[in-house]
Order: sequence, then structure tokens, then C-alpha cells
Amino acid sequence: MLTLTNLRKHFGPASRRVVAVDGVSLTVRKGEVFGLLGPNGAGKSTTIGMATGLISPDEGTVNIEGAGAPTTSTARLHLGVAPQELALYEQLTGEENLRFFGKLYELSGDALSKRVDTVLELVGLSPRRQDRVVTYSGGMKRRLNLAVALIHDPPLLLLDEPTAGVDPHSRNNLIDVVRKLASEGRTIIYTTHYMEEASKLCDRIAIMDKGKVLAQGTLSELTAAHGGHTVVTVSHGDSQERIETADPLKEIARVMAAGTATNVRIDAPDLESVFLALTGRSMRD
Amino acid sequence: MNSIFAIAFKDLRLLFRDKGGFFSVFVFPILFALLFGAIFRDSGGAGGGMRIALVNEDNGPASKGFVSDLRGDSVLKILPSLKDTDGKVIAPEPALTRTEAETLLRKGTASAIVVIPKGFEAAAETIFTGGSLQLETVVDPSRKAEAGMLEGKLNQYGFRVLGSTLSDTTRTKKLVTDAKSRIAQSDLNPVQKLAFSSLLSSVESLQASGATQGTATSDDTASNVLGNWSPIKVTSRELAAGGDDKKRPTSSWEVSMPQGVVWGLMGCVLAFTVSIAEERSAGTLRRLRLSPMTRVQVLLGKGLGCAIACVLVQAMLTGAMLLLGVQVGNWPMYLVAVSLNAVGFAGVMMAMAGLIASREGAAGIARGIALVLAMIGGGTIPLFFMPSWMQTLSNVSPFKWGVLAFEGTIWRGMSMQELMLPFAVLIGFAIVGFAIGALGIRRVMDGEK
Repeated sequence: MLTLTNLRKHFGPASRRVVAVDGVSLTVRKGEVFGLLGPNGAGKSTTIGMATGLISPDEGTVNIEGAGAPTTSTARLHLGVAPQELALYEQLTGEENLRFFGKLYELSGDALSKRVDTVLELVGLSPRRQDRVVTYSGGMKRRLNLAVALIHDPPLLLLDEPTAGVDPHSRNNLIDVVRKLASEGRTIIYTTHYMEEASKLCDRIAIMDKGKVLAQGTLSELTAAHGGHTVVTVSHGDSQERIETADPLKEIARVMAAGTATNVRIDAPDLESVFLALTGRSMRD
Repeated sequence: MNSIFAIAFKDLRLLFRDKGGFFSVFVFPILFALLFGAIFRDSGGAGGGMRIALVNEDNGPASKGFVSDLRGDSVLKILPSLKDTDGKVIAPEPALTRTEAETLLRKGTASAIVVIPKGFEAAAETIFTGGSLQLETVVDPSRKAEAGMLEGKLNQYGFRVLGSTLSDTTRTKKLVTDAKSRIAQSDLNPVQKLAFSSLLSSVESLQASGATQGTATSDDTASNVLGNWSPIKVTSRELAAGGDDKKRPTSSWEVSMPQGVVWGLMGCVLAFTVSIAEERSAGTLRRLRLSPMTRVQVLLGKGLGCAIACVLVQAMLTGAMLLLGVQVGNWPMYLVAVSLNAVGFAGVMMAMAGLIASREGAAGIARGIALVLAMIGGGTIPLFFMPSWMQTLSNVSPFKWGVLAFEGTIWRGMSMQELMLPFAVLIGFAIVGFAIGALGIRRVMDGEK
């Protein structure tokens, strides 16, 4: 559905050149939710910018299946983008925003009205559709930002940090919406620095840091390849025993048979441990 | 095309919801026009640098001396100039006809016409028998405030002509003798005859005492009896529209309203320039770029919105003009002027939006540029108050051409041919503005990350 090949982008003059993206290649398959996971400044948004045609790559190509480069009008009809920074007209109502952007995608009349109703319902903003955006909470603006990306019913969605800075309720709502969109068969690229979101939502994940893709695959593939062993921590009164093992059940059975354990904790490898293994630092650093 | 209209109407909706923008576009121009209309109506002040189209139909020695004095005045700029653009003296001395002078006045090149009619020289020799130096002026109705100043200047130099006559002792004696003889034979009543005789005796006494600068002085009794007689008579009228007196301006609103219109247009320019910068900072410009629209279509949408707002503000002020009794002299051409002003000022907006990327720049630099353009274009300060170099500079201001297009169709009675210049300049602003905007908006959009 979307292929990025050897993308490179730098900013600034030669003397103070900052490499934002350094040879990124990705293939996103039709119907999958593909996560771009990495800390702030990893190059995720620049990669999304090049994928949408907003930023011209210094090197490399972007190809959208059936539409070519993302700068063509055909490709733009295929693409729905929810940028990280809210891009809404605050003095217009939610409905007016959607109607305006819908018209830019050649929607009109009943078709436009139906799409407006559909996306407002989807993101849970129907009751506030006549209110100006300036009166919305941060979470509601995020949901409207996503609704605008959906107004023309695109098959390919690029969501750049769609839950950034929102309250838990709105975050859960947004995650539910993304799940629903995925269930409809849309292809979704989802950038985030929240590992939990990537774990919950994404079929495949690419881990980015310092402009490079360090690894990509399914969650289990990544943890198997880079997450290390499961850690079983056994408490014996005041002392603790830490056991790294590929077969945690076997170790637990052994510990329990000894009859000295007062507590047992199991830590399976996750994306944090994958990132730690790949970069030598925590993603929260 | 629908998406272009969508952008235009979205921007108009935002403009109407922005209290500050609404005030600057739709309220301020009305207030400005009403305020300045009232000021023009009541003002009697005068300034420097008034351009006068001079028509000398007499060409006698006295009138030539009078013209020379006018040319020497530091406040008046007499047209035609005696020097070409290289500063060389033109020979023979150029002259204007009444028609040519009226054309200069209609175009705004001159603020008034001074006509020295035939018989000026002869009149100088009959002042002791009730004759007067006759002068005619035609004033631009928008320059009423300067008409009084001009009349004062004409009286000043007219008296100098009389002074020159009186300083010629032999000639004066002959004039006094002839005058006494004519008064004696005239059918004036005895009191008037006595008054004129008293005046002539005063002149003789002045000459006998060696006075060289004489003016028409007499004692109080004589001046009372002489009633309305004045040695210099200035007949003044306002410029008629196309020679049809019914179309003459009836109030100062006809002058201030076009200026108010142009302020409204500039308000539109600023509002839309700022809106583009705001779209950039708010990220919505990025969203527009992600749509199937091209950059040129986005720019056209913005330009269309601005042009529609320009038409609305003009329609509103036109309504106000009609309520105030202002007559539009030429409706078809007026509508053309409205359209071209909208297009021209939309071009100015595009150029500004293309050159100024940031919101702060749009709010600060664009406002500064607009104010300067308004000032040098005569939007606030009449052009004749400015030094000549600034008057020349005013040609770069859309204000000047906007005002001229309006006044030309309301009361100046400019012909189609005469209107072509302001119309063409406004079209030029539109074309150049769009080109600059297209290049600049590309830079702005490409600067987006």
C-alpha cells in the first residue's frame, strides 16, 4: 500500500546540518496498522511528512499503491492525514470545519452531509457539532483532528501522534476509533512514543531512533529478536532471586517445588526492553 | 473550482467572526469617511505645494508679471512647468488652454485652475473708475480647504500688479487724470463721485510723498461708500462633472466616501494577509496542502475571498453614500471601478501574503506598509500637502488609483479614456500581486515542515 525507499532528509546549513531521517525504508501492507515507535526527535514526523508529500526528501522515493507519488492529486485523495499539531479553524464549528475540508476533497450535497454525520458519530462529537472549536477541550480537538482526516473516506491513514497531550478518556476513545478503522480494512500508519499504544494497536512496528529504523516486525518478532529472556523474580523472605529464562513456566515450577518462595513476579520482554536492547537507553530518557 | 469557492467563503466566514477584522474592514472605513467628510466640509485650512493649472488668455505685460509672481510663490506649483524633466528651460513658454487645464484637474494632477481672462491688462488701467482685475478659478471640490488660500494668494499678487502700475509715476498721473475726467462725466451719484475723487486724491498724495508701493487705500468714509467695489475680483467655481452641472458634487461625502472605501479595501488586504500567516502558524495551511488543491488554487481561493470582501465593503459604503445623497455620475463605470478595485487590492493582498510569512510580520510589517501606502496615496493627508517628490511617489500607492477611479466615476466626470489609466494601474496591481503572491506562497508553503 505504501512503500518508502531509502528516505533521507537533513535540515539546516552544511555547517550545522541536522540529519532528521537517515535511510529509512519501510513497506506498509494493505489493511495493516503499522506503528512508527520512537522517542521525540527520532524522525517519525519527518518520515510522515515525506510520506505525505509535505516534505521533499533529499534522497529516496515514496510510492502509494495505485496512486504513485504522494504529491499527485490522486494520491491525496487516497491519503488521510491527522497531523501532530492540531490543524483546525477554531472560530468555525466542528461541523463547519468538516464541511470545509470535505469540499476540498470534492464532496458536496448529501454525500458530504452523510460523511460529516458519519465521522462526527465515529469520534463522538455529534452533540457538539454546532459548537465552535475554540470551546472544545484538548481531547475533543484531537478527535476532530482525526475526523477531518477521515472526511473523504481515505483508504490510507497517517496518524501522527494522534493521542498526544490528551486525557485518558479521550485517549481510550481515540484508540477505539483507530481499532474500528482498522477493522474496516483501512491501512493505518500510526506514530507514537507510547509503547502501550503501539503494543495494543499495531500489527507491525518499526522502532526509530536518530533518524534510522533500528528494527521492524510484529511485537512478538521484535521481543523475540531483541527483548531478551523473561525475567522471573523470586522472593525468599528478605532476599530476592532474579532468573532470566526462555521457559518461565519451567522455572516457576522448580521454585514452587522447593517451597521457600514467598512471592514470584514474571516480567515478559516488551517494547521497552526491545528499545533498551537496541539503543542502550530507555525510551523515557 | 468548488474548492476555490470553499476557501473564499470559509475566509469570509472567519472574517465576519473576527471582531477586530470586522471592525477594520466594515466599521472603521465608515467612521473614517464620516469624520473626514465632516472635516472637509468645515475646514478652511491651507497647506503648501498646491498645484495650479494656469491659463493666461490675456498675455499682456501685466498678466505676464502676475504669472511671474505666481511662479515665484513657494507654496504654489504652477503648471505647465517652465522646465523639462532634465531641468532645461522650455522655449517658447508652454501654455494651457481651459480644456487642457480641466483635464489636469480631473486627473488630479492639479488642485485648481487659475484663468487670467482677456482684458486683464485693460482692467488694470480702469481701477480708478470702478474697474477690477478679473480672475477666474476652478477648484477641485476635494480641495475646498485650499480654495481660500488660493484666493488670498491671487489677491496678494493682484495687488502687486496694481502696485506696479502705481509705481509708474507718469502712467499713474495719466490714469488719475483720465479717471477724474471719466468720473466727472459718469452718471454716478454725487456721493460716489466724491468717494472716487477722494480715493484718487489719496493716490496723488501717496505719489507726491514718494510712496512706491500703493494699494487701494482710502479713508473709512470712502471705503464705506465704495460698497462692494474691490480692485481684484476672483470668480470661483467648482469643477463640474463632464460639464453637466447636475452631476456636480453636492457634498464633501463624495470626497470622503471614496477614501473610506479605500480604507475598507486596505482593511480587507490586511485581514486576509494576516489570515494566511495565521493559517501557517495554526497548521491549517498544511492541511490545505494535503488536499488535492494546487498552490495556485489555494492562492486563488484566498484572492477570491479577499476580492469578495472588497466588493462587500464597497457595496456597504456605496449604500452609505446613497443615503447621504451622493450621486454616482457614471454607474456602469462605477461598477467597473468597484470590480477593479476589488481585483487590484486582492492583488496587493497576495503580494503581501507572499512576501510576509509570519503572523507577527503580517500584523506588523503589512500594517506598516499599508499605512505608508495610504499616507503617500492621499488616503489621510491630501497629496497637495506633500512635497513634490512624495507626490510622485504616490503613484506606487494603490490608494491613489483607487480614489481616482472612484472619484472619476462619481463626480470628476472622467471620460472612458481618462479612466483607463487608473483602471489599468489597478489591473497591473492585480497581475503583479498575483505573480508575487504565487512565488511567495510557494516559498511559504515549502517552508512548512
